[in-house]
Amino acid sequence: MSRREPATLGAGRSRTKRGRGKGEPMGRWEKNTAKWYEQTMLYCELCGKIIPKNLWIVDEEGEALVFCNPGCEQLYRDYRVPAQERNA
Amino acid sequence: MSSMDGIDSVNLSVINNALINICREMGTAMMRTSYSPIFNEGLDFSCVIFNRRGEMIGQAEFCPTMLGSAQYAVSWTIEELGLESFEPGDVVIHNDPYRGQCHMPEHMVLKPVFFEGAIWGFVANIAHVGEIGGMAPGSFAADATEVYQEGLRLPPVKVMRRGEYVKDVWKIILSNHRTPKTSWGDLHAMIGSLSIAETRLLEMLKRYGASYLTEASDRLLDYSERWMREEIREIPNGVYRARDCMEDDGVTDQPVWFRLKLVVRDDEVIADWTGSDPQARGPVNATFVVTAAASYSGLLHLTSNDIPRNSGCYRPIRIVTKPGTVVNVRHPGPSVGGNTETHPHLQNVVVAALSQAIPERAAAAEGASGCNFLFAGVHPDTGEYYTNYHIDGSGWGATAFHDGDAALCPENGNCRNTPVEVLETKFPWLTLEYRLRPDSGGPGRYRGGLGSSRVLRVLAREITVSALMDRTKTNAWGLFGGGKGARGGIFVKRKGDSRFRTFSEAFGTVSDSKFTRVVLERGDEVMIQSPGGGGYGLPEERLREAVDEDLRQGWVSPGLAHEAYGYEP
Repeated sequence: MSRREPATLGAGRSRTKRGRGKGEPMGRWEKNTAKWYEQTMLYCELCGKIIPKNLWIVDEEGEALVFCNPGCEQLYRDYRVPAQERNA
Repeated sequence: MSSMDGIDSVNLSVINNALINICREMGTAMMRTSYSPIFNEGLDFSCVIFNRRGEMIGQAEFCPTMLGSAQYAVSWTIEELGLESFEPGDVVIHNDPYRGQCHMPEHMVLKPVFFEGAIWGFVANIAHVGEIGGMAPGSFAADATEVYQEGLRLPPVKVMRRGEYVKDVWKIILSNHRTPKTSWGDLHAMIGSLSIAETRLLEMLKRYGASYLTEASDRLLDYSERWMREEIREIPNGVYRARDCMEDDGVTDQPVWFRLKLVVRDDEVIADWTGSDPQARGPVNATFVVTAAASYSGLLHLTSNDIPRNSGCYRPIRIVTKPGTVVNVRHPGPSVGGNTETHPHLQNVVVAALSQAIPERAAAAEGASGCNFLFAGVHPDTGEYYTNYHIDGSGWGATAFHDGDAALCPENGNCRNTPVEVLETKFPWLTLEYRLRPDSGGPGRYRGGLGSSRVLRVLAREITVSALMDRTKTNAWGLFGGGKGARGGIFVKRKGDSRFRTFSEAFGTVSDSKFTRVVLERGDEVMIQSPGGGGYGLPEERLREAVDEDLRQGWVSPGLAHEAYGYEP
């Protein structure tokens, strides 16, 4: 497990200066601990991209949500969740 | 010059152009040294430069689908292998669609560039290798139902280590390709282009210094991002929707729909594709990176041509997909057609959605099919086995200010047509016809681009053919009163027959436009008709002089001129 920011950037690295309290990232970096011979595929909860190694994990109501970067977590909070709430 | 003080807009422009020129020089080397017509004529490859974080800092006028997805393949490779695993002289190869690649034929070779003992960045070449094994000669299996039928899948592995061949890997690759001699030549052309880029980049590093060049390229990324955000700010905030379909997936005769909800909010765009159909059984599925690249490409068509093309301009464009859908295939789904056929459809959908917000910048739909035609056999002159990946251009959509271009590779590919002379010199076909299709462009104030028609006769004892096309049952749409482009199609006339028929009629294939491993015999003929593009604006608003010219050139028949444009001689 590592808490460092990965050297590589995934898609949608958020650089927006938009201040959205609801959208503040709350996760932590972890390494995918799968062995090299295991062909596991973990998908980002928001964008759907397969994540190579560095996972942005968010604990939400007892469930661990996996994102590829904090930007995707932020978009999940300020785009996906409100849309789901509207549709509920 | 190692001080940061000297970085101004002039220096940034010089450095940006230098990076572009390196990519162009790579491309020239690739074109001149590769073995396959899909490279030396078709230019189906892209040369790119990355920083050590996996961000693209240089590209040129290559294939948008590769350019948009390259950052995913490179950043995946760095993340999976780790920066520490690279040594000077290493070259990594990678074509895995489940590790950030577009589809199986697209092979990336990646080389680290070391300067003063550390990795400064990477150079890469992504190219459509024309034969990589699998169930269909030419590795474009239109009826594949899983990735394992599409050829040899390579995760990021080294083919060169410290400048030496990793022979075990080469043996695996060459043993699984039907035409290993061609693969050997093409892969070396790709790797050779990396050496040129490495040399040129080192010259820049010596001239400017590593920290200066790093800072300058970072500023270029930020500059592109700022510019793209400003462009997006000019688009009215809102939710814009559009959809399109693939007419079938090659395995079942049912359409597959992709639906876009495109949200513009201030300075960013969210391309939400989650309403799309579940993934198809056949190979029209797009990988996530294809959908991302199509979304980027659509936006780039509608914004300033002068934004430096690098990873920075992609940052404000956010992609949302659902795994297991036609826009984000789950393992082990097939995806070879997703990159060539689905990609241009997706890009057209992005443009269609934004045509509601910025109609003056939008284009009608294009033919959106690469008209992929694969063939293989033993050449009667040489006795050697060959395969070839052939593409034909289709008509592009008209815009608010000009007619659509005719018979061009779809916008996602930006490739060239193969000349008749090259085709006939290298392969046992006789070209009976190659011309523009009159009346195939959608009528409009600006007319859609014309498709083409090509008729080939088999000159060998037999040739095995496969195809993957679309827009043979659906049409490229027009915009703002413009008419639809004509449908395309692929047909066969067996020796002795009096007329062309669909492959379904002649051979019982599930799809008219997507089939694999059909054996043709000497004297049989194939007709490939590419679709036309949609028109823009009301046809009655077309200038009479423009219709005169259409008639003079034979692009529009007198009948359609009268019917669509109200033209009287």
